[in-house]
This record gives sequence, C-alpha cells and structure tokens, in this order.
Amino acid sequence: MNAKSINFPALGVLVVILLAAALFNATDALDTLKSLDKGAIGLVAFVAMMLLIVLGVPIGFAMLATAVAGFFIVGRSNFAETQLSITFIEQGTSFVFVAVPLYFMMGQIVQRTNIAYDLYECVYRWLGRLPGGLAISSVVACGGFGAVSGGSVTAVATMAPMCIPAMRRYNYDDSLATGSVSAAGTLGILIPPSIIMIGYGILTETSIGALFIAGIIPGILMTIGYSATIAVKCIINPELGPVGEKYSMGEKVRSLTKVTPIFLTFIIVIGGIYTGVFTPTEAAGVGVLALLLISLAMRRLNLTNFKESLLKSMHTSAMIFVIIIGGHMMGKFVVLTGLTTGVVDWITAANFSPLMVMLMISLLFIVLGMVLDVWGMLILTIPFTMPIILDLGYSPVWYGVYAVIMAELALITPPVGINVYVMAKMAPDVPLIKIFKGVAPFFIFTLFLVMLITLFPEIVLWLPRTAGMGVF
Amino acid sequence: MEKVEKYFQFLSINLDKIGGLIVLPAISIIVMVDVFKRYALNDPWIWSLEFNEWMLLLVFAFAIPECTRQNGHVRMELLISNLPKRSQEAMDVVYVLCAIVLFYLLGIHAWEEFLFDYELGRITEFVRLPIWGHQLAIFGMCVILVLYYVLRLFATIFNFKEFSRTESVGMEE
Repeated sequence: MNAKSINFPALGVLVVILLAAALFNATDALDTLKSLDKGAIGLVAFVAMMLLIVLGVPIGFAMLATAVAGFFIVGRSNFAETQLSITFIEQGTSFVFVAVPLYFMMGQIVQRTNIAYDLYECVYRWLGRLPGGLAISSVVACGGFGAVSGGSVTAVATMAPMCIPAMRRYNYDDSLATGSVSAAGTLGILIPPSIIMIGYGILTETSIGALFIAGIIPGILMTIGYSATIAVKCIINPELGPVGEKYSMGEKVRSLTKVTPIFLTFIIVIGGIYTGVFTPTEAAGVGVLALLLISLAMRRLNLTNFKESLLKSMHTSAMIFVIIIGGHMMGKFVVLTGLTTGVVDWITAANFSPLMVMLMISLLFIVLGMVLDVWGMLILTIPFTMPIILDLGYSPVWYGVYAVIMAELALITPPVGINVYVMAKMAPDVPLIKIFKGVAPFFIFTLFLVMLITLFPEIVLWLPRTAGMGVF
Repeated sequence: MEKVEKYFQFLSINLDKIGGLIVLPAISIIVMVDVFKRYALNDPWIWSLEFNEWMLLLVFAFAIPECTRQNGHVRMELLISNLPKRSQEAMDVVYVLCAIVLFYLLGIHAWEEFLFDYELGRITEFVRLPIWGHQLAIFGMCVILVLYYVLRLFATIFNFKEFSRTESVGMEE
C-alpha cells in the first residue's frame, strides 16, 4: 500500500466531513442551530436531504440521516437514537408489513412459472384481431399480471420477452410495441394487489383494503384507455400494428381454461378483501398458497425457482423496509418542526383552490418522477403533502390512488423511467429515445385519467364505499 | 482483504438464507394455516399474530446486510452515474459515513435495550418469546453493517477492489 494507491478525492471528502464534524462539536454551532426557528430547521433539513439524494446516498438512508440529524438538533441528545430504534421496531413488527414479502412472492411465482405466458396467449386469441391487437393483448395481459402480482418492473420483465417477439413477427412498429409494454407494466402497481399501495397505507395509516378496492376502477379505466390509445393509433395508421392471427371460437374458449387459475386467485384475494373475509395480509397468504398449489398442479414450480422467489422477495422487502422507516422518521421530524403546518397555513392564506393545489402537487410529482425512483418519490413527498391533502378535504384513500397513478408516470418519464430501461434491456436493438417516444401517448392518457379522478373523486371512492369501507 | 470479504459474504448470505428459507416460509405458512383455522374451523391461533410480528423483524434484520452487500438500496442515479469513477467513489464516502452513523446509533440503543430487557427477562404475551431477541438481532445486524461500511470506506480510500463497489440501480420497483 503506497501513496499511489490512495484514493485522494475520497480521502479528501472524508477529511472534510470529519473536520466539519469536529468544528461543529468544538464551536457553539449546535446552540446556534437550536436557537433557530423549528420551521427554518425543517426547511434546511429538507434541502440537506435533497442534497444527500443528489450526491447518491440511497433515498432511505438520506431520509434517515436527515431525520436523525434533525432530531439531534431539535430534541435532546438521545432523542434521535430513541426515535430511530422505536421506528425500526414499530415498523419491523407491523403485521401489515408481512403482506409485502407475500405479495412479492406471488409476483415471483407468476413470473417464474410461465403462468403469465398462458395469460398472454389467451388474451391474444380473443383480442388479436383488433387494430393493434397484439399490443392491446400485451396491455390487457399486463393488467392481468398486475392482478396477481404487486409490482411494475416484474410485469415488464415478464411480459416483454413474450410480447415483443410476437409483435415483431407481425411487423409492429418498434416504438408502439416497446412503448405499449413499458407503459402497461405500470398497471401492476395500480391494479390490486399493489406493493406501493401497501407502502402508502403503512406510511399514512390508511386502510390497505380500501386502497386495493379503490384501485380497481381506475386500473380498469387505464387498461381500457391504453388499449383505446393503441386502437386509435392503428386505425389512423394501420401499418403501426397489423391485425394478428385468426382463431376459432373453440380455440378461444379452450384458452380460457389455462387462465382460470389466475382469475380465481384474483377473485379469492380481492373478493376476500372486498367482502371483509380477509385482511390484505391474510389475502396475501391465501394468494401465495393458491398460486403455489396451481404451479405444483401444473408441474411448473421446482425447488430452485421457489428458493429464488423467497430470497428475491425478502431482499426487495428489506429494501422497501429501509425506505419506509426513512419516510416514517422524516414524517415524524417534519411534524416536530411544524414545516407542513406552515405550508398548509401558507396555502390557506394564499387562498388557492383545491384544484390549483392538486395541479401544483401533480407538477411536483412529475418533476420528482423524472429524477427519482417511485418509492423515493412517494415516501419523500407524502410526509409533506399529506397534511395539505387532508386540509383540503380530500380522502386519504383517493390520494393514495392518485399518488400511485403519479408514480406510474414516474416509471415511464425520462430520464429515469425504470420501466423503459428494463424494456431497453429486453429489446436492446430499439433505441431508448424510440421507447420513450412510444410511451408518450400513454403518458398523456395517464394525465387525462389523473384529471378525471381529480374532477370526479367518486370514480375512485365509489367501490370502497359500496364495500362499507371508510374512505376518510 | 479478500479473505475478510469472503467471511463477510459467508455470514451475510447465510443470515439471508435463514431469513428467506426458514423464517419467511414459517411466517407464510402460519398466515395461511391461521386463515384456514379461522374461517374453516372457527378456531384461530391466538398466538399467530404475535409470532409473525416477532419473526418479521428477524426477516428484515437478516435481510438488510445481504441487500446492502448486493447494492440493493434505491438511489438517484441520474447525476452520479455520469461522473468519473473517482468522483463516484468520493461521493460514496458521504453515503458510507451516513450509514455508519445510523447503524452505530441504532446498534448502541439496541444493545442498551437488550441488556435492560434481558435483566428483566421480558417475554411476549402468548408465545413467551424473549423480547431481548429483537434487540439482539438488531444489534447483530448493526455490528455487521457498521463493520461492512467501515471496510468499504477503507477499501475505497486505499483502492482495494473488495467492498468498494458503489451502489447500482435498485433491486425492484
């Protein structure tokens, strides 16, 4: 080990941070900070958190570090570590959280056992003859996949290898083919069960069952809307998406038998939640069991696949856990500083209409969605926006669905749009710009849906109300 | 350093396997059986909720080290991925220091709570599981993670290839 092998930039950063900490300790900087207005401390903390995120600190850690530093300044010396420990144990022992690895497991099982292929084949037989039929089939199949799994990236990674080659065989436009699957993958987080909704429910203490049920109608509307977008494009320019193969009614009906398991699983899980028979966590357990039995009966699940599903579900749940405790800590800190109360007061004083505020929040989500991952975007904004939403009289269930739809946009918005990058890996010969161009019409439709549910919140709230679920 | 990384990898992977292949399936089975007993036999387990909550924390405590080792935490890649490797490593120092402080604080508190709970012999209500088990698991996780991040810092500054990988894209979603 000689001087040449020392990484001086990294050493420099380390020395600067340690010196700054020593200086902070030696001077009365802490007292000066303590004397500041709490709202100002909150604002400084928010800026510091954004800086950490930009510097590449993982989002959960950035929120945790900022909240801990904030608690240290605002509270007593051991307040920060006590809050950290309490939050860790509270969230880590929350029964609702059991649902997260279980729903992930459902997605993993569907992904690894080719059940998704049956779904696509069935939908294709029924809808393949429509203008842009194969792309429409991809959208509907992604919606179906979303009905038994909780994620979006998994949906794209699972559906793309089936849908893209099929569309290529029929000379579909690359932009339409890749764009439709990338966008349709996002349906997975809106159509229940949805992991993002569970995260939102845990963070805001909103009924996860109500959120799941509330996501059904917007999910169906979005599936129809995406399909209509494709059909209109292909009617205007038939070369974009030629019609597919013709199947007899017998072949169509026979294909339904293979998708019956998925359909039944969805009915059991969501029907159980809707009727109040299961809690979302219990429904997840039942869903996993149902899919396991189906996969075993179809002889499609081996031990290796099952082990991988378990480990992958656990890693992803751990990652989400860190982000959620970060969000919780930040939320507690924000409440302590009164920052959100200040924002709410400001909005009240400025006399903004609810629609104007929603427009501002939507713009904020779109901008953040360009640079942040969906989890980061949601967990980061909810502690700040939730009090505003409640003050305006919106339902937290409605806001959950709205936030998830905005998160869907984040999955396809350049430059970060993770679904588009996953698609680029699946179709490496299609330039990234072409895929982003392909998702643009779906992006516009999603904005239209956001406008629709904002103007008519009953679209979201009607179904949970009919189930007797509280939406406030 | 290579040997140290291998030891760390062994520990982290095996903890992960205990969590993923034993604890998580145990939770899943208990949830499923409990639902069946509740609705089919009208005889639910009184202890299942408490047991699952207790076990869930272990799942996270066992999974976080491996999730960290596999660079699974979500972060904003936009700026950092376009920087030269040296600058990325310099920025990684900020993350590593944040993580060391966080897990140090959490670990210290968990140790104090462990001693307190152990002396009192506190147990859960139905299954009578030791409450100190949670604190000990958190403490163990924090020790592993602080050690990991300190080694990663050391490796970054002295240009060892072990431990010095920077984060990549998140694992899912």
